[in-house]
Amino acid sequence: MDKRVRLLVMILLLSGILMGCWDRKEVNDLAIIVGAAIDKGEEEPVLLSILLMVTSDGGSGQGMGSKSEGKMGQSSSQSELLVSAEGETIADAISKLQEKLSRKVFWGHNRVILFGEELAKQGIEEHIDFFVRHPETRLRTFTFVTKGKANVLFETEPVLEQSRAEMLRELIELDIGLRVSLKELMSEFSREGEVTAMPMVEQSKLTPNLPNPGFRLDGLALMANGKMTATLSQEESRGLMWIQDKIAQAMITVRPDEGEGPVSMIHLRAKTDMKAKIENDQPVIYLHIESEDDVLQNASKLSLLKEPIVKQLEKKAEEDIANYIDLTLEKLQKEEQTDALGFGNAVLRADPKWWNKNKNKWEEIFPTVEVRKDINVYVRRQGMVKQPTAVPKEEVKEE
Amino acid sequence: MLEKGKISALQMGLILHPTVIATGILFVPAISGTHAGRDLWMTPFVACLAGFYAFWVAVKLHKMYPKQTVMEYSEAILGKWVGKMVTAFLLFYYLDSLGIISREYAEFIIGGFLPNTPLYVVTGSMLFVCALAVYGGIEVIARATQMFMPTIFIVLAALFIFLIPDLEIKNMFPILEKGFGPVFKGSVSFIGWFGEFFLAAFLLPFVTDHENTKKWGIISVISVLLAMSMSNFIGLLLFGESVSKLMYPVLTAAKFINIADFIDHIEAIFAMIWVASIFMKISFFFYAAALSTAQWLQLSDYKSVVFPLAFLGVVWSIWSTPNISSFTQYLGTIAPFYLITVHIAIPTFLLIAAYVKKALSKKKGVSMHG
Repeated sequence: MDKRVRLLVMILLLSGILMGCWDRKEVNDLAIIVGAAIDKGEEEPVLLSILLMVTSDGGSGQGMGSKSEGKMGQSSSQSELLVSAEGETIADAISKLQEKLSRKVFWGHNRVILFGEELAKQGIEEHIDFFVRHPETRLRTFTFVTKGKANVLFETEPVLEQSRAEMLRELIELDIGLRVSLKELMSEFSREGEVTAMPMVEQSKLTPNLPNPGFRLDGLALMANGKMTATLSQEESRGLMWIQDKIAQAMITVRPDEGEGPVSMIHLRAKTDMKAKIENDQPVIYLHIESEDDVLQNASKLSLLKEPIVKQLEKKAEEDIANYIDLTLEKLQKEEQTDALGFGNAVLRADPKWWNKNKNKWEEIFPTVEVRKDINVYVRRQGMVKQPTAVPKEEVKEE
Repeated sequence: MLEKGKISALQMGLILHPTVIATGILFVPAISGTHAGRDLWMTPFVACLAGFYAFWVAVKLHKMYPKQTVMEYSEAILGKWVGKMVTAFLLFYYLDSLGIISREYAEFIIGGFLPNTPLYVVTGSMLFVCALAVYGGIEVIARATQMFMPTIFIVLAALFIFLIPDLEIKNMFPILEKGFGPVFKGSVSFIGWFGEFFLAAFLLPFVTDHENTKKWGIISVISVLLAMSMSNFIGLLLFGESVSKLMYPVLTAAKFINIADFIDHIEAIFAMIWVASIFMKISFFFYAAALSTAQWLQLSDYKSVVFPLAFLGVVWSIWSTPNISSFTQYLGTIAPFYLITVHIAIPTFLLIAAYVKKALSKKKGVSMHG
């Protein structure tokens, strides 16, 4: 008897522990944030717009008229809801947003953070703190700077994906642009004098004649001390990505000397090895680049089966990569004079003593740093045909 | 003898592993990174010497007083009054660490997962479960450890493997830019941790296969070294030097895992496993505290003090620190010296005293014992 009573008491006590009452959160009490856009507010410093996933059962898209609350109102898609509020800080804006929502906001599934151009120019460091500090967020959240207002991008219709945030995330994961997550921002902002590049995204029409706006990656924003100071064009950012070994796949089109037409190739595997050396008390950056290419289109009359012709293509491709890099170096070393390429870090790793002696002068030294490139492109395969397809056999050039 | 249980040397090694590393694995890189910066991964290698040393001292003392724990032989070595004073200090430490470890556990759970749950509920439920284990005796703790440890090792290894695509070796370089000084500074707080291997003193009297104790003790120190290094490498190679800014780098790293958009949000599994290992850590410290209390007060049974101590532990966890910043300051300033005193200095002193006593009694002993 005594044992049974004890057992019963024990079971009751243990079940009390198992419930976890205080922090019980049901999915249908949560407003799941999938994307956040931060702009400069009109009255207060921060205008926060969050994109919420609509999780209710009426997901079929019928009779959702009741959701038209929030400043922006209901976005045209039924699967997501855009809500925004102004505040002193992001946390403050959240509390004001919460006044409009029947569910508690949840950051655990946030995919992307967009910073408006105007806000980025003022500095985003203070806003990064919120996202790094919050226990629900994760550091693999991709960050962007938008041309113009950030929340405008969330007002467009999602295409191909369920969600606009998901579109942005999938887009950046294709490695066409530079991937920058909160993790990178956190570690790079903390290094003094380091300039960070963030991808820029803008609204862009999908087709010229139809009114269906989408997104487009367009170059990079350079952030010095957390403030946006300059932008790089798409071509210049390509060079930066080559230098930093961020290129995953890229298309190039080269024009051989003869053959009256271009040849397009794709860099399938590209690898950059950046090393710094101190020579005569001057830092020199060695870039060793290797890329394996396939031919995608041969619009010339050349036969690509001939070794010398392929060698020529490889050389042209190498020049093409070198051009991108020179373009970026020209912009960063001569015009902007900011080290967004990680050269400073490479020098530090190569020769800490030299770096510590000269790090205060790095801004003056950086524009004079010599870059030596060693680029090797190998054209490996040529697709499903051996000869230029639409050219009569007699016209095919073999030299 | 208050404890009648018997454990194997393997179980001893297994218990010591979570006892030393459970709390540490979470924020090791953040602490070592504060001083050692980029070279933080070297710090456990320096500090593990303290682990070997503390374990060696525990074994030496055990050989002289085979059936006794540290509470008993301290009195045998130093005499009743001095002995009681030293053991009172040790007893205070075990109770104190019971409260502090419970608080560390609660800070992590509340800060990371259950922000609205009151502190005493988190520590109370944990200490209640631990009390049941301690009430069951050392064999129960040993078996629970033996059951949990393989899972813990597997999950930690998986954590590391899942993160490999995101690790950047270049974060390690340049190595030793500022020389060995910062590395030594960074390893001081780990000396305290590795010193906890002296707690083997509470396990050695119950080990049956003594020929294996040394082997498993060494394996245990090395396994702690490996776990710490793994934690350090994850932190350093993933976050670079900014790792020292994070509160729980390894949790943040677990949140970072994303394999092919499929294995995602797995930090809950990591936290679960971590709770299992902190359960073992608290249980063993609790066991040491309960046994010490009973031996210090010369009770006939330690089981009667287990549940009262659980209550004390809950209250102590609230007393121990007002907020996370003073707690961090405590961990960075006072704790290393406090821990080194308890785990390295006092045992060394005991060992020297025991040798001196042995030498003296040998001189006299001829006439005394015939």
